[in-house]
Amino acid sequence: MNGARQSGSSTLWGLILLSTLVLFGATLYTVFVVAPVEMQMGIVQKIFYFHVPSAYAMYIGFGVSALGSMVYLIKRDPKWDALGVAGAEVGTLFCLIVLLTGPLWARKAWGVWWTWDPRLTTTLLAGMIFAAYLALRSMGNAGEVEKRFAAGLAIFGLVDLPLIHYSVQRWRGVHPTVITGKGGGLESEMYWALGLSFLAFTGLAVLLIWARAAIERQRDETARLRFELIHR
Amino acid sequence: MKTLRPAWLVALKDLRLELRTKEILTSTGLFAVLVVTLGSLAFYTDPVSAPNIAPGVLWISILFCGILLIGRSWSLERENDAIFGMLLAPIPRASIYIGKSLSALVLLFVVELLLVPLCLVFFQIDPNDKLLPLIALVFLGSVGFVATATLFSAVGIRTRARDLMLSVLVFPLVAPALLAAAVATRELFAGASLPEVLGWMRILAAFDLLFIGFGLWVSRYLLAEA
Repeated sequence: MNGARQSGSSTLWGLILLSTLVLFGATLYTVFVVAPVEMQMGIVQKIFYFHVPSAYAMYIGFGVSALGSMVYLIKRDPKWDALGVAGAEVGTLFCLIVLLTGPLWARKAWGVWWTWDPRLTTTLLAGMIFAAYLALRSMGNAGEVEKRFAAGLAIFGLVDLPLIHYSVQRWRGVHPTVITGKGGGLESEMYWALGLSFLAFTGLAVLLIWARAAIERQRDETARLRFELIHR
Repeated sequence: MKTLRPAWLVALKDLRLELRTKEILTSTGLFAVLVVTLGSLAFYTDPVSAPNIAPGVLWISILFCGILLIGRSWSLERENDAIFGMLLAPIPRASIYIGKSLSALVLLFVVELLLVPLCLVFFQIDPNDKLLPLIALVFLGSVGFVATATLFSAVGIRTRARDLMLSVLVFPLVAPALLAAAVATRELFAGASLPEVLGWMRILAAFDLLFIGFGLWVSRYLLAEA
């Protein structure tokens, strides 16, 4: 029974892996060959196709982390804690990508590396919150208290993000709103490239979170077995 | 009622303890004077730019003093494992959270009574007509901060590296409250009308309510005995 489930989930895993690889190939082709070079920004504009989907993948990661944490606090099942850790780690990774690619774009587009815009500030603070989460979890093997503490932090962190966004927005705002209700100012090939990239990054985020959660569960299991062995 | 009365007793216990030892208030009060003095020394240039800088110094000082105060308040519970006495008591977990928040808030207000006037004097700001909105801002900002920091130090005292971790965890979380409070205070000092400041107060109030409500809900899970 367990074996059948395992082989079922590994088939699904392989399927997602394959489609993500294909999607990434298609994305790269569309981004660099099909989509036109933007007139004012030049080749730098291509960052956009990786920057925006990374930001979106970051929110997937943090959302998964908060969800896993919430269920963990209620049910106390280590499975959900593993999901929380995986989401936080993958989210922080994508956050780092966003924070690295963003300034490269900003320098060309706005002439500065950094500005206190709602989205920039929210991303930076989200990164700090979840970096604290990871720091908390990385101190030795986390006990029950640390796990619960981190879970609370992940939930609070996610709830906090809209507040950060809104308050900075009131304070100031210059970020380009490329995707608006009206459709923004993109060529249709650019839309294709962006859409494919979104899909590819979704696949990547799912794969990474899945793999990380599996590792976390195995690490937990190993620690439990070792404990049993020592105290037998 | 079943939650509020035990909460009141927990707060009363903390305040009585403080009244007898005066340990938290002396250390935090001295620290407050120090932070404001150093902040003024570092940032003050002339009376014209002072109203722009003072709110930042004021709110950073409040945050630093608050985190010190709350850390002290919970480390008292850690000594001799006093926390287990409270956890064993037949009261809701939320009461412990509310009680500790309440006592920390009262102590923070006492420190602010020293901190805010000092900041105004050092930066040569005449608060005359802005006193009420300023008090309201300080109140709202402190409530949100204490509600967040108390919850996390409650769990944090039982983890390793608590004091450092507490500030690393709490400061990014309270960033929107700090921003709203500092910007509102700056606008207030620059002579903004009440409706303009009221918008910021609404954000602060939303932050407060959200985090208090969330704290009440999560404290049930976070404060359980491990």
